[in-house]
Amino acid sequence: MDYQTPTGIKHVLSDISFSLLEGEFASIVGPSGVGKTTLLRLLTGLMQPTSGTIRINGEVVTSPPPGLAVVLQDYTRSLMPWLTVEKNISLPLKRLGLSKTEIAETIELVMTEVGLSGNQKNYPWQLSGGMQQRVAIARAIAVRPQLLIMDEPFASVDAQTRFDLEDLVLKVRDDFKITTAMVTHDIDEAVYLSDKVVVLYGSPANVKEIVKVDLPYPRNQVASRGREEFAELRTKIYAQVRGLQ
Amino acid sequence: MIKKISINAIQSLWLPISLVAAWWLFSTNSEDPFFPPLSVIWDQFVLLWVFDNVPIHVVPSLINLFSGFSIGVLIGLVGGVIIGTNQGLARYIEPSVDFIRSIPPVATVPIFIMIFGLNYEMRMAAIAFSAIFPTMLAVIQGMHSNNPTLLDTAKVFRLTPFQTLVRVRIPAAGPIIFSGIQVSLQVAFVVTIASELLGSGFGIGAFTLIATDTFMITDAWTGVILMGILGYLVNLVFNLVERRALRWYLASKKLS
Amino acid sequence: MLGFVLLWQLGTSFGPLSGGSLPSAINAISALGALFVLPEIWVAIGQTLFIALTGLLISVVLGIPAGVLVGLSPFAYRSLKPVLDFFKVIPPIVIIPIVILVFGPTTEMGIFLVVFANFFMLVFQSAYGVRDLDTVLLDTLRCYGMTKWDEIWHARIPGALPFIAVGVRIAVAASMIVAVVAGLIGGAPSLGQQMLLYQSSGQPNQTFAIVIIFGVLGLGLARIYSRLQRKIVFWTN
Repeated sequence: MDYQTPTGIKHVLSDISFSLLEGEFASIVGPSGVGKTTLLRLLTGLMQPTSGTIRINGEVVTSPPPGLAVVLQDYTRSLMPWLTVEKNISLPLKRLGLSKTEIAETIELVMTEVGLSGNQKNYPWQLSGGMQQRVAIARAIAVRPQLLIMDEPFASVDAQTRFDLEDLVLKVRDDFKITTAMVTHDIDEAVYLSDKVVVLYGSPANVKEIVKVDLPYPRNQVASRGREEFAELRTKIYAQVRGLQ
Repeated sequence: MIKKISINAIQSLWLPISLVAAWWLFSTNSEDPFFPPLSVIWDQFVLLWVFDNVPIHVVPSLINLFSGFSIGVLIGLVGGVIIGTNQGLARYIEPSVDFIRSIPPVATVPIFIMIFGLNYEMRMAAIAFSAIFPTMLAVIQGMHSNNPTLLDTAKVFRLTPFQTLVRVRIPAAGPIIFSGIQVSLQVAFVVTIASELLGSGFGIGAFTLIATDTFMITDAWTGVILMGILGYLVNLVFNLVERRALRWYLASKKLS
Repeated sequence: MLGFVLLWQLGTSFGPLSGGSLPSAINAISALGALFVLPEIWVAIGQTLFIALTGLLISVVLGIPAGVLVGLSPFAYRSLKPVLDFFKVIPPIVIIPIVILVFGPTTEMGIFLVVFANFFMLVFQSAYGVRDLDTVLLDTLRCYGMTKWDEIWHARIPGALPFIAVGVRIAVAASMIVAVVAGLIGGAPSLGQQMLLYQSSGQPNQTFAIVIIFGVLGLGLARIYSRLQRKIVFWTN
């Protein structure tokens, strides 16, 4: 998959070009306001670039392409409060033409995967923040997406839950091998989860560097973060985000 | 910029203008006694209300409205603050206030007629009385909904209870209080007209009543239209005042 | 509550209002009791409720679907908004003189008045609710491949329900109030008209008793609707 993406009207982004291979996990980081969310909106097809093209599997993206899944920061507003958890997940599945039994099986599968088996009949607002985000992740995996986009998915949960959810993402990644692009403010998180980190910087923003993260799998909150390479990587990326390199 | 304003204007105005034009056209040759041609109504409207009768009928009505409204809102504010900040008192008084609030305001007018007779005091009392409760209830609700964090912060800054009340609690409840005052205004307007329709004397309502009774239909139509326009204008002016007073609230809403 | 009644009784027995035309609590309440035996009162209560509820039903059945359709079309919404804004602030009492001329002091007049009171407000509320869809939800659904129809059926309409529920709550209260106005001022056969009769024939206790009935009816309707609302829009607090 290949992205060449420039600008918004205010010259938000210019000269963005990077590619994401199948099964890869890329994080997008940069200073606040640089245009990370704009980039995501371009990637999902919700917004059109003023010049340049976005391609997924060689096809140009002009509107949200099939095989897309999203997990956004504000889980209370991306899940429908008038539907149960299972209805929330089954809604996109119905679009895909699955049979009733297939849908039920899929829901069971993904709910177990995210550790929420048994909560199908609950309403989102009956669950904690972390659990709601798990539901959003479950919904994302349920559609077997070609591309998963996450926009600061863990920014609205507490630090403890954040670690749990990061590990959940690693597990899902291991089990399902979904191509993922994630925007985050948290550089440690970016290094921990990704195969590569795209650093945006400047006004208008461009790709300052693409940092390959070679940390071995399976990764572990204590061990991986304790490694020397981890510290080197995060320092390097952090310095770039702060404009010191 | 000018282009944008004129596009907005056209979008907002094309329908009302077309409706009025349609009414005009369809009623031109009307012989129905109850629906005279709009042109006739318009002529009569200009004759009566462009400015001759204004001091006789419009001004008294408006004066009644505003004085009664002000008194009622004032009592509602003070009473609401007292009840809203006083847990114990609230428990005694709130159920009664709730009940009185459920009584249609217009229904209280005959009571006031009984007490005061058909005069100016009756109208004042009725209008003021009906204006009290929407404001009072809104103030109470506003006091209850004060953010505890805000109150704690005030305590840390060692504000006196009075300062906390005036500079923190009341402004924080501003939006709720204003919407309560707006309801009070609408209720006061209705009761003003009701008191005139049931009573006698001067006022737009009274004028329209006499016109209907004496089958001066066109005059009655002008009265109705005038009341409608006044109702709309009164609300409009209130909204402008509210927008100014609640600038901070509206701006913060836009950002969220 | 009891304290207030006590105050009332004291006020009318000894205070500045004593000897005046304001009935004391005991008198009014006993008159209330006496009234309940009269069949006319029950008929009148029924008539008032009939006007209020029929008008409510008609305005809901007409107003909400119309409002939803208007809300779905940005053009319709922009065009109609000024008209709706104008009419929804006009209290129905304003048009009573004309309406009495056309309909006469009848039940139909009352129903028309109630519908007039609620229709524009309900159209506006429904339209506003349908338009006000959370962008986060909208983006999410679009990414997952929802069509326009999906969006309307699965997201906009359920999302509009809280707003519509508020509109109906206002309409329930307004229907009762306007039904009273229709009777009191328009002379439609109802409790309002009955009250006027009592007042003009110098029967203060009964007049006051009817005021109490109005309060009870109003509260009752509001409570019933509250329960209904909680069932329908269960996800809002």
